[in-house]
Amino acid sequence: MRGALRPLLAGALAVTLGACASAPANVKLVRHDPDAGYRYANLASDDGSEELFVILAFSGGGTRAAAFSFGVMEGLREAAYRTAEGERRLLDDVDVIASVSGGSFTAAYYALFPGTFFADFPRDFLHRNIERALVWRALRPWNWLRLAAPGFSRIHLAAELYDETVFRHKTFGDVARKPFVIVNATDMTLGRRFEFTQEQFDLLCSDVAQTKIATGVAASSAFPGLLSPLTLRNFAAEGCGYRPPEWLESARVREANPLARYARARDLWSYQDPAPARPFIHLLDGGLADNIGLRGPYVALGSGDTEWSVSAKLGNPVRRVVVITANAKTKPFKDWDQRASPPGLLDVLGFVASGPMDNYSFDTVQLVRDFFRQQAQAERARASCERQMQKICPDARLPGVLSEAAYHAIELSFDGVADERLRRCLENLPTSFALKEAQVTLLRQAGRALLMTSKDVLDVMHALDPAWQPSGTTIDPALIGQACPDPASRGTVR
Amino acid sequence: MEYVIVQFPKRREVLVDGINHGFNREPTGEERILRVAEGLHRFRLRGPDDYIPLWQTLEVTDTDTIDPLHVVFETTA
Repeated sequence: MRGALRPLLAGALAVTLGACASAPANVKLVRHDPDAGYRYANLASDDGSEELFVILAFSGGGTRAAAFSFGVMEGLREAAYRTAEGERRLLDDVDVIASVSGGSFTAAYYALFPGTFFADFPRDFLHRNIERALVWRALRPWNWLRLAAPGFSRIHLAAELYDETVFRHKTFGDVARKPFVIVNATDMTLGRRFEFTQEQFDLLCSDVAQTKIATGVAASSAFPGLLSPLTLRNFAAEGCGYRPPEWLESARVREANPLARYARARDLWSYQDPAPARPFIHLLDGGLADNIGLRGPYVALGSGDTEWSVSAKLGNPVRRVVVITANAKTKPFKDWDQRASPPGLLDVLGFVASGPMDNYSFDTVQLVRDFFRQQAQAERARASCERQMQKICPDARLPGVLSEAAYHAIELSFDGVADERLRRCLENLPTSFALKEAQVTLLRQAGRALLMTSKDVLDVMHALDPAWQPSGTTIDPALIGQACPDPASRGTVR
Repeated sequence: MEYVIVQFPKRREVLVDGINHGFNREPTGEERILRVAEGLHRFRLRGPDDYIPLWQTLEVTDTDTIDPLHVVFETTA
């Protein structure tokens, strides 16, 4: 009898473990509705002016990135300017925040709790030792059993921790107001950006509004090796009445489109394509596809190939576009070139993991700058041509009216810190989810100071309010010593 | 970026691939130049179907701000 019960008990245990290991990361969408769900157009706005469009991009880099982007947000809160209706803060003009990895914690928390963000986020995340909390959670015997069950892994423990302690069980459906926060992960098969928006989830016939914010942020920060990939179900084969957006149909015609547009459309269609079907989508850290979160905004700036296209509004009603990137990239000191022996395996792997992405991030920032420069140039060329024509023929007019816009691409990074000691300190801070209090405070002060002292920001603010003056930006020198006691931070490779 | 003028006698909103790109004309009646990305696009007008053709799918390339592509819709009313 005992012998007969044993397999039954083992089977029951396996079923129980499997059932309670974790809730599904995403659920099926009952019926596709292009006007419903977590989309830019569905979020309420108290934006006083449609003429100003502000995009923030928050890079990856663990708590370093989260604290730095938080400091930039503190600066935006202080950047108040006068309008005919009264005083406004630049923070209130932010329309979109695109984020990656560590930056996603700041962006998502602000989307959920804008009223208490500045008071609570440092306590709830920045000063919390997330790494230790994750280890403690993994050491609980109950979790050993769950980790042994199929379909449950370290990323689920991380998502649970973030859900309980940072994001308070909220889902994307709980975000009610702009800014529209786009949390980015990386689709491992495509090597491309994967957004936690309904526009992306439509392709999976899944409802992002019922997906926990913590799930999106965990996927966005699932650093390879430390955390396992997060797996989503793709319900496309079951159907949901999905009608692709018109741009996707147009862009899938290979011979009539630039390769980049076609390739993006082809990759997006792979979620719907029955051959080969992709019933499961595996996501890793968003920093693997784009470590500064700017690729999505770049698509929106230059095309109508997303629901929140800015290009469609350029000139009318949008007259000024501001893109602020908070890039917490580091440049740790390396003594490789002081030694005859080549760098070891760990150094090589570290370089392989970060070197190419640093170059790609640099190119992405440049891409946005170049795009803005081309727009301004094209507008100037037309105006200049019309002036030349009118010298010969005063009544001559070019066809049509081109509404002009002003463009500002602003990158805030440690490169912009003038104080060498401070810059070296910041550039040598680790990528982790456990920074010292002094390091967090220093990063916040640096983010705020870089914003306030940026010439590009000054240009924006003076265009909005010619009398605007930045508030004081002192950084406590004692903090540098507390944050960077390690002598290695005294050197840097430029 | 490519540049397009959508010609229609009335002031109407223009949908490019289903995305609203604003009006084809300024309130003064002057034609507006719209910005679209290079590639294949479907052009329509928002509002009553009092025009032909009801949509046009065109490859937009090699335009500039001085010489935009003209997409012409005619009224049936």
